[in-house]
Amino acid sequence: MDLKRNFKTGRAQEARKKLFLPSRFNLVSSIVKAYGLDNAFLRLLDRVDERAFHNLAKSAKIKEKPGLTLPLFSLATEAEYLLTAAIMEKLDNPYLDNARDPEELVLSAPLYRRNPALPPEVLAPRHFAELLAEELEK
Amino acid sequence: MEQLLNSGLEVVIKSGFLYLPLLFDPEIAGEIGSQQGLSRHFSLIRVSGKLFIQTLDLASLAANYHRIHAEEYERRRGEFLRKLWPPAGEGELFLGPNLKAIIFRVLPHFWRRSSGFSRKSLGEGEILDLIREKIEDLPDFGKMAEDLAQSFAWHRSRTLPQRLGWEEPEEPPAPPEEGLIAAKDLRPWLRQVLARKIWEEEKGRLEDSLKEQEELGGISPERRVVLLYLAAVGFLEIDGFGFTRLRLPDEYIIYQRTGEFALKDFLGRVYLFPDCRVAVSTLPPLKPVVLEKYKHPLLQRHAPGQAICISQDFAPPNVFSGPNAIAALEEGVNALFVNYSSRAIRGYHKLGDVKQPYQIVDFDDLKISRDHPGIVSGRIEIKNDFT
Repeated sequence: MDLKRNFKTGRAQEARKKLFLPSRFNLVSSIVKAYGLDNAFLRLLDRVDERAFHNLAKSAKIKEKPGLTLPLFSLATEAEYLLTAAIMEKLDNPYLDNARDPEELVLSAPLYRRNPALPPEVLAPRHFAELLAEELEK
Repeated sequence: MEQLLNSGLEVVIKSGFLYLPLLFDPEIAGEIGSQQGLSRHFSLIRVSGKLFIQTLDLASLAANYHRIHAEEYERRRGEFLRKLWPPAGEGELFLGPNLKAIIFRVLPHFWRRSSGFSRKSLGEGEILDLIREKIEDLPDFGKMAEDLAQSFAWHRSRTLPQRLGWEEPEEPPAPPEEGLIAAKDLRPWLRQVLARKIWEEEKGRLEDSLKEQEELGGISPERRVVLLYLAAVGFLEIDGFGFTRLRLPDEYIIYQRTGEFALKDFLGRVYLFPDCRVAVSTLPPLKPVVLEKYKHPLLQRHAPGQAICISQDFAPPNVFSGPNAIAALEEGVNALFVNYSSRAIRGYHKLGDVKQPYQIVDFDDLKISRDHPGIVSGRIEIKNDFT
């Protein structure tokens, strides 16, 4: 009897509509296009260190999360694709899914290193600079 | 297309096809990542280290440009024709297929019935003779007939064969040279190929027009003037049937007058309905309407231009033709005459004293006695009196 109920529940959950979430590629590629990023951004990622993170966080204790219109599916030119793939490889962390501008891309890695347990409900509405400033004060 | 031409993109032309830069996402990149994967896709080519994907056949693009970019095509057509052809004047005669259908197909149908002619079908010449008899009394016909003789000569001069001998545009160039080019370099080719297409279309249209002119030249001058008169004034009414031009060049409203008629209500009381024009236009769908401000149980309000509540079995035709216009007009007139039944609930309103809360039209002012001179003499018929 329990097994039967389990099957039914499992099938009902499978049949339920799932929330569509844009892919990480879609998100990073949209930021690349919206802000016209190029390989200079990659070089910047190599240069930023802990001191730079501190400065960025301190300079923006209260910062508004920027808006970003995401397409359902993103297609990029070859150059944009290579840059997006390189950014994703370099900053490989789950907080990227909630980044909305290049600054948040940069700050996602140090924020994840300091506190990898921040839930999406916290990451989605607040700017990463603000969250990192809080983490640095702890 | 304009967006592509202005984009600054580099495109590739190969075997008559336009190749555009390939766009990527992780799946596409994974699919073509290996050389083996790339070789499986015949629509992909690599030029100068970049990948391009096959998109449009350029010949097909040119052939269907008027469908894909209708507005842009019309603009280009207008620009091209302005160079060759002065703009048509307001008074230009246009003997279009709709006008011919009205004169030679629809008019004889209604005319013959109301004038008591024999059932034999009339030839086009005879129809023009009969119209001439009717319109000769019009005050402006004589002067207009003279003007038309000159106008006709002018009209012919505009479509003389030598006009068709416009300098033929050069053969459309083959698609631009194969290889990597800037998208904007497609523009001269596109301009030339569209100019050629427009020229060929216009030539075909003028040849048809010339053929019509020659047919017109074959009939007698008196009959020709009648036809040209109708084309010029765009209006005629004979024996309750008429048409009037809706807009240039060849759209008309065709109407039939109902004359006075009567309907009776559930208690046998009689209502006199005044004359009105039931009309259909040449612009589909051919739905019968009343032109005048009118009220009737099968009309929703007391207003002009209302669609008549017609039988569900009749679907308003979506194409204008003589038989379709006749069917639609007859459906409209018959609906006003006989579709209202004093016993059945049909239409929007009921004749009589019983007022529904939603009934906004009152027919009391149309009530007449059964001793009305028109009814007694038989001039006015009670259309729904089936007893």
